[in-house]
Amino acid sequence: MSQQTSILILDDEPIVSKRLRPSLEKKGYEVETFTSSVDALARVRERKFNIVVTDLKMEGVDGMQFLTEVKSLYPDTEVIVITGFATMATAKESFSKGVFDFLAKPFKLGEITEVIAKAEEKINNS
Amino acid sequence: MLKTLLYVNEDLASSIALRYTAYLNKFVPISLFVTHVEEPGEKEQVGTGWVRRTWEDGVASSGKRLIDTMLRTENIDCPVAGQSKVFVGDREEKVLYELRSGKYKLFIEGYLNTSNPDQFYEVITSPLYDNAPCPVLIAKNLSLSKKCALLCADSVDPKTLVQESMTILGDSTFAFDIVYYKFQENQRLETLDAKEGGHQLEETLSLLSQVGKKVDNIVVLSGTPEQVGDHLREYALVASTMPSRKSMRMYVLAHSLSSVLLVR
Amino acid sequence: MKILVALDAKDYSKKIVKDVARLAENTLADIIFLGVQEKATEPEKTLVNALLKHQNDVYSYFSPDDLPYAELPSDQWQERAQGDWSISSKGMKEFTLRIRTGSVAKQAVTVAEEIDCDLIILGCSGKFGCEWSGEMNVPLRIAEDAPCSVLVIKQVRSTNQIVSILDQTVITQESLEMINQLVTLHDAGLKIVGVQEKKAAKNDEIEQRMVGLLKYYNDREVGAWVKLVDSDIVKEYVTDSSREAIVALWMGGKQSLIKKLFSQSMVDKLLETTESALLILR
Repeated sequence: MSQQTSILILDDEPIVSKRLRPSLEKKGYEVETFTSSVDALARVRERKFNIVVTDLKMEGVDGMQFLTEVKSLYPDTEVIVITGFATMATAKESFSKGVFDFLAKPFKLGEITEVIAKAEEKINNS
Repeated sequence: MLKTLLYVNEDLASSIALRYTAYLNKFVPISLFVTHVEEPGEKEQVGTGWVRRTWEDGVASSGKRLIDTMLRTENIDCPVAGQSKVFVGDREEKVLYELRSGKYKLFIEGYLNTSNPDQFYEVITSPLYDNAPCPVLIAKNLSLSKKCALLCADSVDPKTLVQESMTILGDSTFAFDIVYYKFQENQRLETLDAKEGGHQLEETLSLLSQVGKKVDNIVVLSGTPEQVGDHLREYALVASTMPSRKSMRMYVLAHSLSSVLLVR
Repeated sequence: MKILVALDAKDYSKKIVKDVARLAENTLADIIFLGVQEKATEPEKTLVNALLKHQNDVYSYFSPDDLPYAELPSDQWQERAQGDWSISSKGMKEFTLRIRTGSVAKQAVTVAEEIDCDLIILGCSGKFGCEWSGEMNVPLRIAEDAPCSVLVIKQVRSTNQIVSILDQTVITQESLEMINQLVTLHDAGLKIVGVQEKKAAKNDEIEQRMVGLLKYYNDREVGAWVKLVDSDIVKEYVTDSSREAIVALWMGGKQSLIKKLFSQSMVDKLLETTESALLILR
């Protein structure tokens, strides 16, 4: 039996995790959700996740710092950025840091699950 | 440190005022005291002497719990200097007494901005504002700005505006603009040349320079009070002398999206 | 994000393409350009050319290194169903041209539902509540039935303010996110206007929502301000605001006060008088 793909979701709006979590768990993923970037950072220092989904604009540690830290700890973790305040500059910066995809909010559940599936495929093929 | 009294109720205007005060503290170091007055209705009031005192203590401590909860909920980044001061009785009377006896330098309270200038006028002409021994700051909105404006117009006494505003803002790290207002029924707000401002503008500028304050911009605006009030949103604070009547300046202050500091 | 843009060969459509490109550049959205024609057995040349021209304008807006869309495979339109053709390219993000037959308003809603898009954008002639090739009130009819928010761009101009009008209608997370993207796109401040019924003693619900939003934006370092406006002057207030700002209206819910105040003719009038854009939120 193949190992479960683990996903960490970080968004300071609880509704995002609330929407995403059940749907991803139903698809067989192991999901941990965080609304605080500090807590999420502490968790990624404890363990590796295959996929990280993070917002960019948050209080405290911002998403860009967070994803930089994730990529430096685990270069093969695929990071997907979701943001309500999207700009070309943040998209470019995200990609320069090696993120897998960049999604502007609002998006439908189907859109993010499709991106997660592609990230999983990339991990499995590598 | 500017000794400041913040009036707090269990309402949304107070929630704005609390956060705004914390923001203000980043620019003007303040020593913050929080107050609240419980105003029981006629029917709720009981007894005299010891009975009344015991009843008042009960009302006050429930008011105190309410304010403490609010302070905890808002979790503002600004230390409160002492215990919150909760009184029972007439709000204006009690706040005035506290302002005088505590020798506060600034009074702050929240105000939920409305499109009705009469509501604002009612507030600023209330006995509390009329008799306040210090400048009053009406917190209408939160801000991210690092600038404040001194609102100048034909009806403004520059000496009062500068001297009294500087008792509050003199040591602040805010950048300053002077905004000179001219009423005009325009479709759009117009920015005029600085020389279009009256002599009050020059005097304000000169008085500010005398107290060592540099002015970043002089802005002469021509438009309706709504248009100017809207434009003022770019400031963290708009300082003005207290309007004594329903002048166009009063309407500008009523429509200002930014918080307003009233001096006299 | 997935954006459906209803376009034709008219000037009001040409004018919005740059704004669409800016939004696409910021959000890296999947884009679907929809053209609607009267009954025909194949896509009409004029419409095809117009859509290709608009697509080309969007592509040219990006620097080649930043273009998230792939070139369209060819000019070979695939017939999806009777009176429904498309060409699509899948780069990092997807770009689709689609042509359908029928009425613009109806087809835009049908495609929006089918592709589950997040936003519909269209231009506006400003005549007869925004006439599209003889069809009247197109934006309003789309907004009435659309499953998502609708952005009607009357004139492309820089604006530094978005004025959002709140009533007691439930505010969806998606609609807030749409506002966030517009605020970011225009680097604008957000005025949150609560409509209060004059006769109502207290408007706790609206006030709570306003202040909640104010704090939300302040925490995210987006300039935002609140203001309560009496229902009897809200039409005038919105019309005045629409001269310079983008107005965002929530028009969902049968109990919506805004819906009651803004009759169909009022929205049409707003589209006639606005000098920027109107965002109808869902």
